[in-house]
Amino acid sequence: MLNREKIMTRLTIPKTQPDAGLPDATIIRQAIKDPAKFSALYRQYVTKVYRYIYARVSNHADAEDLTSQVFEVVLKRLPTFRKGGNFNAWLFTIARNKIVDSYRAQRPVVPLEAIQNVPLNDSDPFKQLAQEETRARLGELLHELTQDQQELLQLRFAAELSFAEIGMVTGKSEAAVKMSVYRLLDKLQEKMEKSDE
Amino acid sequence: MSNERKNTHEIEKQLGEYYQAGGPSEPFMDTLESRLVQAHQGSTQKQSRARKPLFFRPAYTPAFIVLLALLIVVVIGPKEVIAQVQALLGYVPGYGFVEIDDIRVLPSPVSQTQDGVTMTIKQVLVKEENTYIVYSVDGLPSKEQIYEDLNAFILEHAEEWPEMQAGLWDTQTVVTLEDGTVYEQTGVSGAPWAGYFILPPFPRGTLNFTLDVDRIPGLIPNNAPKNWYFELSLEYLPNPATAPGIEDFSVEQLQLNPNMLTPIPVDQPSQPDPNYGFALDLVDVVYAEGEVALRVRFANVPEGWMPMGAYLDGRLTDDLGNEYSIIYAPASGLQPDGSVVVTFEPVSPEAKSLTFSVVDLFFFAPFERQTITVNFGDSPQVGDRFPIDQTITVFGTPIHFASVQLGQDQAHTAEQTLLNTYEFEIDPVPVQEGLSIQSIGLADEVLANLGANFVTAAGGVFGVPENPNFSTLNLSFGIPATVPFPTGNFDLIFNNVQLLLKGPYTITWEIAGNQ
Repeated sequence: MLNREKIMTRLTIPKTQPDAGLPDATIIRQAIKDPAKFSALYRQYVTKVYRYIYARVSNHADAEDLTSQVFEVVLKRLPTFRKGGNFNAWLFTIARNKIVDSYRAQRPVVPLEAIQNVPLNDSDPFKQLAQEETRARLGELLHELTQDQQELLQLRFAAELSFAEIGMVTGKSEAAVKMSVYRLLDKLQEKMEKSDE
Repeated sequence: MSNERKNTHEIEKQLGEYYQAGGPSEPFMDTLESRLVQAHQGSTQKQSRARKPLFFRPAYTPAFIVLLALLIVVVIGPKEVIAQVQALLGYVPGYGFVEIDDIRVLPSPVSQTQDGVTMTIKQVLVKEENTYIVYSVDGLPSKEQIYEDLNAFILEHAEEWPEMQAGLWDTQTVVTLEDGTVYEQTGVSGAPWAGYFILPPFPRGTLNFTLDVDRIPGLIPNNAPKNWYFELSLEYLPNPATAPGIEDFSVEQLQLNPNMLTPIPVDQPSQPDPNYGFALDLVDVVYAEGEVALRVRFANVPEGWMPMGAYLDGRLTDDLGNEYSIIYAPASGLQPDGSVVVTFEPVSPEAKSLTFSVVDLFFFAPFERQTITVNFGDSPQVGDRFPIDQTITVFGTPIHFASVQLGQDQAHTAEQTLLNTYEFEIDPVPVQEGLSIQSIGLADEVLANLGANFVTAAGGVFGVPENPNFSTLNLSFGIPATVPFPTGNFDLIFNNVQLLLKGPYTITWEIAGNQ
C-alpha cells in the first residue's frame, strides 16, 4: 500500500528563491518593440545569467562571451516567447544550451578559482581566514560532484531558479530535481561538518 | 527509515555566498547593453524596411532571393521562411546549420604539421558578435595520456596550480589583419584535440589574415610543438541579405560553395506515435566529413506547447546494426525556428539506411483554465486541513484534489522569508497510454488574487510502486507570510502541466546514393 504520509513528508515546502519580478507578457511585448524596455529586461537578468554561466565555465572571458551570446539569442527569439511562459526557464534554457554547445568538447572543469579570492565582509582576520577555508573546502567538495550534480546547484544557487524552473530547464520532473538537490545538500553538509571536526 | 531531512540552512547559505560572489563587470555589462540596444534598433528598422514595396528596386539575382524570402514570410510565416533560408545557406561543418548573418568562412581546412603533430584550422566563422576559429589537432598523445600528464603536472605544481590553471587555456593566439590590426584571443572552448578560439569580430570586408597560435590550448607545457602559423583567406557565406559584394555571386555559385553542404531534404514519412499522433519530422540531413547532422521538428504538436530541454536524447542506428554516438557541434540543440539539430559521429559508408529514435518527449503544455474552489472558513490557521473533493480533467486525465493543508516554512534565501504554505493532497492519477502528467501549474492570476508578489511552487510526480498504472502527483506552494491566508471561498485556477509523451518516435530513411 502506498504510504502517502511518507511522500507528503518528503514534499516539504519548497525552498525557493522568491522572484518578485518575472516579466509578464506585457513587459515582453514592450521589450520586443522598445530598446529601452529591452535594456531594463537585460539589466534585470544579466547578473544572474553571468553568475550561472561563470559557475559553469570558471573563466571570465568565456562567461562574458557566452553571456553575450545568450542575450543576443534572447533578443532574436523574444518575439517567440510564449504568452504565459516562464521567462526564467526560457532564459536559462537558452543559457544552458549555449554552455552545453561551448562545453561539449570535454574541456576539463576546474573549480571556481576566482571566487575563492573574493574579498570577504568580515574584518576580523581570524574569522576571515576561517571563511576563506570554508569557501576553499566547499569549492573542493563541489569539484568532487558530477557535472549534473554541480549543474543542479548552479541553477539553484547561482541562477536562483525554483525547483520547477530547474525541472523545465533540465528536462527533469520537479520532484526529481527537488529530491536530488536535497540529497546533495545533505551530502555536502555532512562532508563540511566532518571537515570541521 | 526516517524521511526527516536535516537542517541544511547553513550549507545553503554557504552555497549562496559561494555562487553569488562573482558577477559581471560594469564595463562588460555596459558594452553588451549598448550592443544589444544597437542590434535591437537595427532589427526594428529592418522590420520596417521589410514592409516597403520592393518590386521597383534594381535587384541582383541574390537580392531576388531575399525578396522571395520576404514574400514567403507574408504568405507562410516566419518559421517556414527561416527554415527555407537556412536550407539555402546550408550547413557549416564543425559548426552547424548557419543563421542569417554576416558570415565569412574558410573555403577549406588549412593544416600545418610539426614533429608529427598536425594542427588544422577547420573553420573560421566571422559573425557579428565574435570570430570563431575552429581547430583540431591530430598526432597528440591519447586522451588518457593527456589527462594523466595533466594530473601529474598538477600534483607537481600543487602550490602554483590555482594561478596556473587559467593560463593552461589562455594561449597567446593572435590574429593579424592585412592592415596590421591585431586581435588577441578572448576565449577558447574545447579540448586540446578539438575546439575553437574566440576572438573579436573582424571588421566588415576583412577576408585575409594570419593566425599565430603559441601553443595548443589545454596542454601542459612541452607536451606538443609550439608556435603555429597560418595564412588564411575567407569567403563570404552566400547570404544575400547582408553580405557586401554579394552581387558577385550567382545562384549557381551559392550552391557550389565548398563550405556550404546543402542539407538533403528527407522525403521519408515520419512515424507518428500510435496514441496521440505526435511525430518527429526529419527536415533534412547533412552528411559532412566529420559528422552527420539531423534537423528534426515536432509535428502535430498543439499551439503553445514547448519542449522541455534543448536537446533530444535520441539514438542513431543503421541497417548494419551500428549505433552512432551523439557529438555536439556548436549549433546543435533547439533552434530559433523550433527545430532541433542533433549531431552524430559520421556514419559507415556501407550503411544504406538510418534510423533515429527518441523514447519520449517532455513538454510544457498549457490548457484552458480550470478552477477548484476551496472554502478556507473564517479563520484559517497553520496546520488546518480543508477538504476539497473536486476533480479537474486535464488532457483526458482526471486529477482529484482531496484536501489542502496550511503550513509555514522558511524560504531558503538569504532573507529566509517566512512562507505561508499550501500542500495539496491529490489522489493517485491514472497514467494514460502514452501520456503521463508530470506536474500541474497554477495560473499567474492566482498570485494576484492572493495579494502576493511571488509564489514558490513545487510539484512533481512519484510512481506508485504497487500499481504502475497510477502515479502520485504532488503540488504545494508558498507565499510570504505577510500575506494572510484567504478566508471563505477561494478559487485556485490551473492552466498548465508538464507532460511526458511516450513514443518511441522513430524515423527511418535511406541514405541517398548508398542504395
